[in-house]
Amino acid sequence: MKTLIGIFDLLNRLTGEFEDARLYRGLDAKNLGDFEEKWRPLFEERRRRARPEELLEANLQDAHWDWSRKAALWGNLLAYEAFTVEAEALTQGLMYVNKTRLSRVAGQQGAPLIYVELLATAPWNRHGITEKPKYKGVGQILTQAAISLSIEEEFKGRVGLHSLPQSESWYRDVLGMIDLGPDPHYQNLKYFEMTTQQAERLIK
Amino acid sequence: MNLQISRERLRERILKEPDYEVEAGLPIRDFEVLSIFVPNDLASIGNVNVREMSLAFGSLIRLSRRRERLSVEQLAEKARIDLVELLAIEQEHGYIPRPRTIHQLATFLKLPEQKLMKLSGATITRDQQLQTAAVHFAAKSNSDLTKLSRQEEELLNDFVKYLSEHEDQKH
Repeated sequence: MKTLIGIFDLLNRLTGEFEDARLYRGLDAKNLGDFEEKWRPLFEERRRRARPEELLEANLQDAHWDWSRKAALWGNLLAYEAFTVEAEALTQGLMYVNKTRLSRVAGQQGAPLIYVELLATAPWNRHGITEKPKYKGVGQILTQAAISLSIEEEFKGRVGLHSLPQSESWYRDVLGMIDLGPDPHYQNLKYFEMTTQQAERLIK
Repeated sequence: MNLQISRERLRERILKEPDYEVEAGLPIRDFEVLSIFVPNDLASIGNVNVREMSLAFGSLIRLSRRRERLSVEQLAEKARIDLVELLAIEQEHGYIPRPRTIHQLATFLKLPEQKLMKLSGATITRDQQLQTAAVHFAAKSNSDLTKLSRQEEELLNDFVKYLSEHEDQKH
């Protein structure tokens, strides 16, 4: 089921104007159609244009998601929730979260948190894929959704995630999440966590 | 659920924050990877026909089990899966098993896991060639003799070879 959380704003980088964006809890066939028909052709085009070293990087990133791990994780689908952002009648971003993970940060270690399994923006919003990316703010809206869900679940704003290499600055420097370093159990992607205090600062 | 931040405050943050990439977790390049997150009731979008594919999945598991000369009970025990679920896979058309069950079956029976995910309906595919091959396989493998006939064994081997070698059809 997909329900509207509210209408927020994305900054159109091309016009400098804010535009309405709808944040939903859940996803539906329309979102899947967008991924298949609109997102994937652009990812494939980017892959065709990639230099060998970029392809290696992309393959490494793909490889960290192995099916056995996924099969083990997905035993309980109730533990997962999806959030989508739409603007201009297109899916602009997607987040999948897991509500069964625990904190690794000293002081709150073992406390439940919202773990972001996946946070993705549409390819036309990404610097690495298009020369003139369109919307800015998808990550901020989805991060705010993760914090709000964490508070709703009484996890006090705690959020954890593994950042892709190109996004580490955003999680560390912009959101101020704690960098717990490369995770050997997750292809050495860096693991970040947001504490209650950091979440409180971000929602003010 | 409501966002804890106001729309105005969120606008200010978006305006002020540096323009960085934000991707986290699973790189989302492959629709099949994404579809594992999707509820089964959305599996009917596009050209997907879960029922037809699951017929082939059930047949494939049944023939593979018989090739190993195992009863349903024995396979469930050896693959460490639920007996009732294995019965449903073999006998209920349209039944979509849990990803863990598919993983266990693929590992024990040495079958290609991602293709099994598609056949079972656990992930969505629009691969028409795979669907056609699956339906033909299911149609030919309808008999249920105790021991595999030579013809059945050939059919099973051919289809497993096809699954192993088949390259995903994108559209």
